Amino acid sequence: MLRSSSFHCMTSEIELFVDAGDARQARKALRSAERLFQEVEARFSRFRADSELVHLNQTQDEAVRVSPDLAELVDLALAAARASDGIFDPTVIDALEAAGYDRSIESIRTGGTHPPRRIAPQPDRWKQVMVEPTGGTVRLPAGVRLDLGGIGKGWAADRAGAMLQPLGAGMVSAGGDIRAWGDQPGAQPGQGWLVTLDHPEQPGRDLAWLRVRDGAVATSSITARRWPGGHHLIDPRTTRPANTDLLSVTALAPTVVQAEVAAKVALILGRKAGLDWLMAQSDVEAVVIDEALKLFGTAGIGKALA
Amino acid sequence: MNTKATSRVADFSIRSTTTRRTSGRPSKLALLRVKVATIGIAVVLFFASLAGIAIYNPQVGNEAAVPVQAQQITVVKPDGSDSLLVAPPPRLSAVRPLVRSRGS
Repeated sequence: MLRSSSFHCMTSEIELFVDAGDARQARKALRSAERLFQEVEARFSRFRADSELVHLNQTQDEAVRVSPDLAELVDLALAAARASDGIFDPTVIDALEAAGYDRSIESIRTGGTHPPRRIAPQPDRWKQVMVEPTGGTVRLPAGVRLDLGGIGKGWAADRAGAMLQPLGAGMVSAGGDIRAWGDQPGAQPGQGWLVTLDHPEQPGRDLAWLRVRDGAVATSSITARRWPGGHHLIDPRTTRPANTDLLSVTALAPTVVQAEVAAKVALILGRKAGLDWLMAQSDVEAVVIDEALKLFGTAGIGKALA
Repeated sequence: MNTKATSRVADFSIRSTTTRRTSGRPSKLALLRVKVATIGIAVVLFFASLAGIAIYNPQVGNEAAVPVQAQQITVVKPDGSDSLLVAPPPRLSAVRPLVRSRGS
């Protein structure tokens, strides 16, 4: 029987599904997965003064011992920066704040934010961040802070999926970034789970259905977290909200972290360079939607369409 | 569709039964109301079925409100060429997506 749980966390709606026979076990696992999301938010939010990430961001040029989870997250973020030649950059927090994203998106939506300020590009600062995952230490250069928002949510979705997977087929959706395994109840064996590709400008309108088979899908969009004068996707080459010809990118990959990074990088790069970059990635397929609402796909996307 | 329609009719007959109990005998006016309501529901259901609209199922009603169309996807190949792929339109089926992938 399909059991589910939904709650609000990380400024997103989180939905958990597991096709489990044992109701008690399922409830327990769903509660544990919910706690995991709450803990990840509490520990790695840049908006919580007492979070482990904020404490790390207050250090300057010293090797700091951090939890294994934070070390892993920083390591993943730096790996993504290397794989995208710095287009995915976890150190653009100054630019995010200058653009107006210096408070939670919920605060911006209700109370607005300041006009955008310009700051000089600071290329490749991520290369100066040092992480020792096995020893659990991170060294941030003076003046460098990390934002692990998107990758943290994806990481939590992947971890929650791993927690629920032993119980049976299931799916985790963290605000539309999705990890799925096994087959959706009622589906033919091997068909995986159906996921709606949402219209970037008309939320709730279906564009297409995707099949996710033991993998992940994530969407990055400039239409979601935006405010007058900006949006949350910073192009590190300009330190301003990306001036992209795309509205959204939906990427399929083995993990949510990989899908989230792929979608964000392609969106910032724009249609031509973004598709070229996506095509060079192994295990990644994607649908990109441009300003004219025209859809483009990578070579293998046909297999993912339901 | 039929489930809710049936329950509405059932509710109505319960009410009319109650009327019988309290007054001892149904009035002509009550019987007339039952007849008019039954005929009204039957007429609405008849036209709804002709139009293919499930009026008592909110989920199906929402589906009907969203334009359904096939999407053309320009698929880019590794050699730089491209081809056109038509994604099947979202449709009514036994297995439906439970979640939407969207920027958040």
